[in-house]
Amino acid sequence: MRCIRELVGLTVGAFAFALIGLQPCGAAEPAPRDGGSLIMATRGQVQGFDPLTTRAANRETTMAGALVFSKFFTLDEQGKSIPDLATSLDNSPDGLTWQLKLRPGVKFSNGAPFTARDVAHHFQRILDPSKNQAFAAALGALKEAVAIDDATVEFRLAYPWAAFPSIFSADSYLFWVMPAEHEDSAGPDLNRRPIGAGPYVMTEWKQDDSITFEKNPNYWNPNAQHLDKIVIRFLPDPTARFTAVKTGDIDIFYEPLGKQVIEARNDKTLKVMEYTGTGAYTLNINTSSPPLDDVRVRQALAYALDRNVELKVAYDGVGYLASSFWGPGSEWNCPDVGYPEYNPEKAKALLKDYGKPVKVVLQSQPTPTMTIPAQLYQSFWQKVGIETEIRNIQGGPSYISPVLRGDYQIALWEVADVPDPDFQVYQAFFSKSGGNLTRINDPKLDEAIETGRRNLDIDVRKKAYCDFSKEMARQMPIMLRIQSIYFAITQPRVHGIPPLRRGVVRLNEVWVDPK
Amino acid sequence: MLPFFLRKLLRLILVLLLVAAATFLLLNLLPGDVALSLLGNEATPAAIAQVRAELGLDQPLVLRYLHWLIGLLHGDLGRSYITQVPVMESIVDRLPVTIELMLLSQGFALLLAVPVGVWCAYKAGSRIDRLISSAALLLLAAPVFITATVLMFLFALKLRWLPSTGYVPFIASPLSNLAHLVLPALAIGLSEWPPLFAVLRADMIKTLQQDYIALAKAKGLGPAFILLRHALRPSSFTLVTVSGLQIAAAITGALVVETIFGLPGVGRMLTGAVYNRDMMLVQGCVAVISVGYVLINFGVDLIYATLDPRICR
Amino acid sequence: MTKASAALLDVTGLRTRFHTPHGIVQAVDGVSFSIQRGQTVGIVGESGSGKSVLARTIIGILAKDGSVTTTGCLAFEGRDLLKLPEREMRDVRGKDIAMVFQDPMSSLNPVKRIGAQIGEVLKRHLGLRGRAAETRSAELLASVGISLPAERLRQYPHQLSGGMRQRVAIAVALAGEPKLLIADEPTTALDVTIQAQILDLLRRQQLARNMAMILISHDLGVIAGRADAVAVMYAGQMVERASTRSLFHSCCMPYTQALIRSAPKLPDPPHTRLRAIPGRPPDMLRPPAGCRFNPRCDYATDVCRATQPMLSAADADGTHLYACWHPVGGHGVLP
Repeated sequence: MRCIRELVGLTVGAFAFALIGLQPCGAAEPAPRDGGSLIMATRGQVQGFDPLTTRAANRETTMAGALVFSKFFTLDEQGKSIPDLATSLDNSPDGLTWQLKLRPGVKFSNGAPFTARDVAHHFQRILDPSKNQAFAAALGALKEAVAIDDATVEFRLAYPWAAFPSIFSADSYLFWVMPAEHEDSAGPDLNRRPIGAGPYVMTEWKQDDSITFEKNPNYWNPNAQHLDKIVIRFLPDPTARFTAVKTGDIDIFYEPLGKQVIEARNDKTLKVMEYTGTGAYTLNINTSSPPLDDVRVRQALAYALDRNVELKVAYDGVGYLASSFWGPGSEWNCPDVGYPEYNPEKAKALLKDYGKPVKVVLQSQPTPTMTIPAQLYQSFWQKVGIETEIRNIQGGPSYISPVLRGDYQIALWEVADVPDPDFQVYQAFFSKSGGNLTRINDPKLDEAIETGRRNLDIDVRKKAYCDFSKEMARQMPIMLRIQSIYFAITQPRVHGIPPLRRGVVRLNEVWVDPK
Repeated sequence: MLPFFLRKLLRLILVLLLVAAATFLLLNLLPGDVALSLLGNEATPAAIAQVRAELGLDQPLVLRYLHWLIGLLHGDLGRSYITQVPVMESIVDRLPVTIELMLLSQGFALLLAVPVGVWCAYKAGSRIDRLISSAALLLLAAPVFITATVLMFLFALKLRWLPSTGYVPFIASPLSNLAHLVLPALAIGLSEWPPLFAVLRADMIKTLQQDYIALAKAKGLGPAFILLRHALRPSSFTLVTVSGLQIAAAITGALVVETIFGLPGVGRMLTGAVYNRDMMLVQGCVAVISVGYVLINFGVDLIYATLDPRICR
Repeated sequence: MTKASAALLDVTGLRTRFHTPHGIVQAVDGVSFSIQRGQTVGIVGESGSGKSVLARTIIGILAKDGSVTTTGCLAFEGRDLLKLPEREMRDVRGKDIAMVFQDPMSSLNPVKRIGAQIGEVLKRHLGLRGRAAETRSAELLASVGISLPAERLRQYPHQLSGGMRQRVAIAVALAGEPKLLIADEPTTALDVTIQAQILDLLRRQQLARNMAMILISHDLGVIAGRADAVAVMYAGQMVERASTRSLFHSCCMPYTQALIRSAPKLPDPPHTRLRAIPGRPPDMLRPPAGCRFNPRCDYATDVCRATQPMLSAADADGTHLYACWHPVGGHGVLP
């Protein structure tokens, strides 16, 4: 494994970011073997396959959907787009009309042809604001989808939207196309009876236990189907998952803890997969709540944090400090944004300049992954004279709600890893967006966000997001902690898992050695 | 017998109504909203309002409760807010797992508590009795998840005797089914046997001071015969009550153990449902659990009658 | 009552001590007596005087966990029962020596059928099982005067009246065909009307089977006319011992005298006031020095408070013994 790390290090630069333990050392990847089955254990459950029912998708859902529904384009290891269900995507010069050509001869798993009518019908269903306004908003500029002929779908946009092409290679449940009749007739069962054009079909779903997939006999590319059966099992307890992968009860352990990663690295009978993605664990600051409305206070908070200590204590040293949303492995990475380094003297100076005593409330959850960092911050801020009250709130919705309402000061948060920066920044930091969590209102940020959204030139967009990151480091509406990092521990018999982009284990082309 | 039955039935219905009402109220007093848990971080107020309307959450509480009750009378517990699967179907799917787990764990607990309890009562006050009594107290204090983790580490990882996680239906393979349930059941059983042990020991000590035990001794009977054939039955009334309560209360152990060992039982579903504020599912689970609770109590009454001939008149 | 080699049971210097958290209780303190085959010895004394402990010591059913220690000699047919290993002692219990307890409500197992409670003795000691045991059990029930014995075998104790239950208990005791029957207050818990019936039943069985019997009671009236000899116990000690006739005619101990006076007489009209003995039985953790009865005794003098009286003979042949500094002699009166 070490030689892979060095190899990657040579080609990419400073940090190993992508794939570790993916290929055996020194040897060319052997030819995939067909047959066999595989079990992956995850923390969460698959929620379902109809976005209008589930309304949100966790990574487990995304991974299950990726087996049943192929994307229109897939990304190779370098992030280049490869045709899958679609063969091409062309835009009009004004960037307002896009034509998607579907691969001929593709069938759904029930044998029905995969047509432009089905694709257009699906998008229209998602866009219907009477069904779900949030989805319509997420698709931003997209106005409508129309089937031109059996193999061509035309997408019409309200304004040029640079991130638009990326939705066709996104791991998003919003783009899981089912036959139009099925979507119309299945009713509430649609969520649990997926019919897709992907390599696998769902054959059994035992709620709270497991979900089973078998080869789709109608798949267009049988060469890419290796496993006979794939089972995703739900095992919420990380210790249980670790035990199960060690005993061979499961083949892939998704989302291990930091200390388990360290243990597995030293265990010759296990492989560790690691991917440092975009996105980051953060501390959101409500910039409308005094004293946090003063940029000096926000800066002082950031300078006071010794993030290396946190990395060691809370993450067992596993991971990388974030300086922007886009890490060193991302094509959107901007090397030097001037994110504050640990400097307690500077923090004290800023506070002295501010001149009033500072007291803040930190919203956290009573779980170890949250309480340990929260207590660390409290002690760091204490050292520079900031008094911190920790407010623990249990569980998902009750935690999210105050942040959405703006009824918070500082909150532990995560900026998700999504395929295009626009998805990360527009809704959360554009001053006029409904989802502006930090209440930041800064013309420079707005300008960068707007440019990134509307300009079709990739270099202009990259510069815009670089400007965005630099301005964020100055305005400090959100403190960055650890870059989003994803792990999976596997049995050595498992091969062919692509890099865990956005934390997704893509199982569709995986193969295994016989047991 | 018939009036007895009717009285029980009436009580069952009353308990059910009360529990349903209490669950309804409690869940509505809890912070959090199913709409938010459905929509996640990017929820806008408009979207939340829309989801609430779709799920009927915008109706007044009393109306929703009545609606649910009417459905209940038809055996329809509604559909899960999250998965849209009929609640009844989900519960029927998972119930066998939980029932098997509860019975097995109680079996383990009794298998441990009865011999040890009888022995300690016989040797009451001795060093071994004091040792076991304190050990039982210690186990009582040990949370189920610790016991479960230790058992898994020992028997699944180190010794490799039993599978670490997962579930196989009994019909598919009885042996494999048992192998998968031994550790979870043992984990609950280990935390459940101390109270059983304690009540049996205490009752047994009292029984052993009775004249009929003195008479049994005076008959020249051996201690084993006296303990098991004379003293055990009259000492086990509290044991049966506690055991009955525990089978029902084992649902709390099932919440934890099913999650750790990845068993698809009611406990696990309930945990998830509470977390997601999937009230339909929670209500359904609670209704079924309370019916089970009352049925178990009914069963305890029946066992009483066979244990103590004085009751059956 | 001299020591005869033919004695069935010879008790010598028997001491039973209870080791309680508060100290040692001398429940039986140096008791000696003997009983011949077919003889009935009555033991009287107030509750707490050690009668029941004496009975349980003889049959060996006190706790074996070290909280009770017994010394002295219990020669039964020449064998010292105190030295007998527990396993062999189990063969003696129920077979050679049997016992009837005070309260048939509590001495019969409430959750076992009567047939089983008799049958287990037959199986244990006579090797009878199944039909043979059932037949024998029914015979036993019939012999103690229970009607429809075959049906009774299938009943539970709570389905019988108190008197019937005591008859069952007697049948249980007789099942092993014992040589010695210890009846510990066999009628105390029963209705007055039933008491005489049960006592007569015991006497009849004892005579018919030539069985020795120790009849324990707090009530001299129960013993009068049914025992050949009587021993009086006070605070764990035997304070007077005589043939029944001699005791009632010329008791020596003031305590015996008080007992005779306080005994309710069966011929008494109902609601006759009992003449209770003044004062309370002594605290057995801290018994008084000297004669243990002295705090309650009308005749007590300094010597009584200082020195314990030894058992001494009241008559020439030494069959009437008493322990008192101031024997009442002529005060003894027939009840």
